[in-house]
Order: sequence, then C-alpha cells, then structure tokens
Amino acid sequence: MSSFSLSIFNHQRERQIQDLLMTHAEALISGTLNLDHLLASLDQEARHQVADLFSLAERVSSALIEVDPSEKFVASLRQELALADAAMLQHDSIWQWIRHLPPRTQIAAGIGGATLTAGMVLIASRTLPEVWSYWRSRKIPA
Amino acid sequence: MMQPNIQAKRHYLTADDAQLVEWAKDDSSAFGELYTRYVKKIYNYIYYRTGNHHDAEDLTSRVFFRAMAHIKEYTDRGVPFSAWLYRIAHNLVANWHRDRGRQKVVPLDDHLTTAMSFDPPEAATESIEEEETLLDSIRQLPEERQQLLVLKFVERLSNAEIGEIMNRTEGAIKSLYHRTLLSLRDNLENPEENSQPEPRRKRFGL
Repeated sequence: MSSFSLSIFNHQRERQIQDLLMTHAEALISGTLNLDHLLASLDQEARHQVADLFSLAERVSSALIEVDPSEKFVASLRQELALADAAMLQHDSIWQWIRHLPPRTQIAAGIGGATLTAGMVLIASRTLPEVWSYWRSRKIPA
Repeated sequence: MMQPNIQAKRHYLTADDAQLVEWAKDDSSAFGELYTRYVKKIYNYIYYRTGNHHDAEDLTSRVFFRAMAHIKEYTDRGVPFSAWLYRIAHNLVANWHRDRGRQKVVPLDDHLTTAMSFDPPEAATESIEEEETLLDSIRQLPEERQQLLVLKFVERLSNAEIGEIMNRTEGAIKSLYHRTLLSLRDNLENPEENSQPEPRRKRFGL
C-alpha cells in the first residue's frame, strides 16, 4: 500500500472511530447502550483502539451527574430579577416620557441642566480658603 | 409597560424560546419563563466549571442579570437563545478564573457522597477515590475539553447544540471529543507527568 493510500485509510479509520465514540456517548446519555451492536462494524484492531475509550467515557458519564440548585436560591433569584426588571421598565418609561416632551421643553431642560452642572463644578473647584477669604472680603469694616 | 390583557393572551408555557425572547423585551413574565427553563442548566454548567455551589449561585445570578439587561439587543442570527446564555456563562466563568488567577481546588464532596451512598462502605470508598482521580484528571484538561464534557454529559446537549455554543462544526466536536478522551486517558495513565500545570494551558476548576 502506498503512503498516500495509507494516509487515506488512516484518516477514514479515525473518522470511523470518532463517529463511533460519539454514538457511544449518545447511547450512554440516552441509556440505550448496546456495545455488541456498536462494535460489530469494527475490525479487531479498531475494537482494540476504542475498547478502553468506551470504558473511560462510561466512567466520565457516571462521574458527571446533574446537580440541583437549592430551591431557596432559585426562588430568591427569580424575585430579584422581577424587582430589577420592574425598576428597568420604570427607568425606561421615564426616558420615554422625556423623549415625548415638546422640543422647546427639552431644549430648556437641557440648558437648565447644563447651567446647574456648570455651577456645581464651579463651586466644587474652589478651595475652602478661597471661599473663606471671599466671605471675609465681603464684610464691611466698622 | 406590558398591559395585563395582552399578557393574559400569551401562552408562556407552550411558546418556543424565540417567541419568549421577543416577548421578554417588554414582558417580565416571558423572561420569567425563560429563567425557569434554563436556571438549572446554567447552574449545572457553572457548578462543574467552578466546583462549588457558592460561586455557582453567584455566577448564575450574574448570567441572568446580564441576559435580562441585554435581551433587548438580542437578535436571532441563527444562534439559539440557549447558546447565547451559555456563552454569557462561559465568559463569566473565564473572567472568574482569570480574576482568581489560580486553580480552584474542587471539593465536590457532597456530589461524590451522594453518588456513592448506596454502595457498601469499602466499595464506596474505592469508588469515591477513583472518581476523585478521574475528576482531578478532567481538571488537568484544557478549558474547551472540560466545557465539551460538561455540555455533553451533564447538560446532555446534542453535537449541533454544543457546536453552536462553542462555535464549531459538528465534525469538529466529534474530533475534539476523541482527542479529549485520549488526553484524559494519558492523564490517568501518567498522573505524575500530567500533574504539573502546563504554562500555556488554561486550567479550570471543573
């Protein structure tokens, strides 16, 4: 057999083993495992290759069993999600309300908000001694 | 806000995921039904990837809060909602491992004790030890191989579903499963050689 044909043969063999391993896994999950039926299509060498992998897959399948989250956790998370969802909907509805205001009102609100923010920034940027000296300078001497 | 008379006309229990997702964009009851369908699955996935119930609960909460916050942006481009949820879970678990920067030692004591509780004491001890060795070997596997085993054996998903979550073809999933079993066998046969973490390999808690 040429090296090319051997390579094709090996590739086909590998594909066959991959398919078989997956069929075996599916059968393990569904509880319909029939090893004889699975192995029937294989020659001796291929059987030898998959036998220990079948056994390993069975061990993995028995070790990885489904676990249950606590009922308390499931119920509490459900409640938290419902509360958060209600808050999000309320938040959305405020934005919806703002977006439906007349354009003039929106512009006025924008200017008002910007002025307020600028004032806050101005006050915050002045240090306490500056504010104190400002107030002292305002006192009228007796 | 969803009007009650519209909600009354909706059959949440019989609706498919795609329909529920559309409704969930402005209907909390629809999101509640999606939560009911997937909370256990997502919890299991995270539990086997983190190894403890406390972190599984914390990350499961984050998955659903994130899903709820972004459900309006979700568009069905052929990837089912379940795959979208698993991807959120996968990203959060990856961040969790990265933040911790270390291998989580997995107790899984309650899991093993429950699984073996009907065996005779000696046989049970032996079986527990064998299972611990097996789980430890699975923990040595790269992240994607652990993910595949959890999705296949715990979540019992089809190859097509796993492919959608892991962004691979079904053929690639079969090939990955084969390689996963081979490397797991190596880990079990040569525990000393494989006990040290490989620097470039991501190690996950399982």
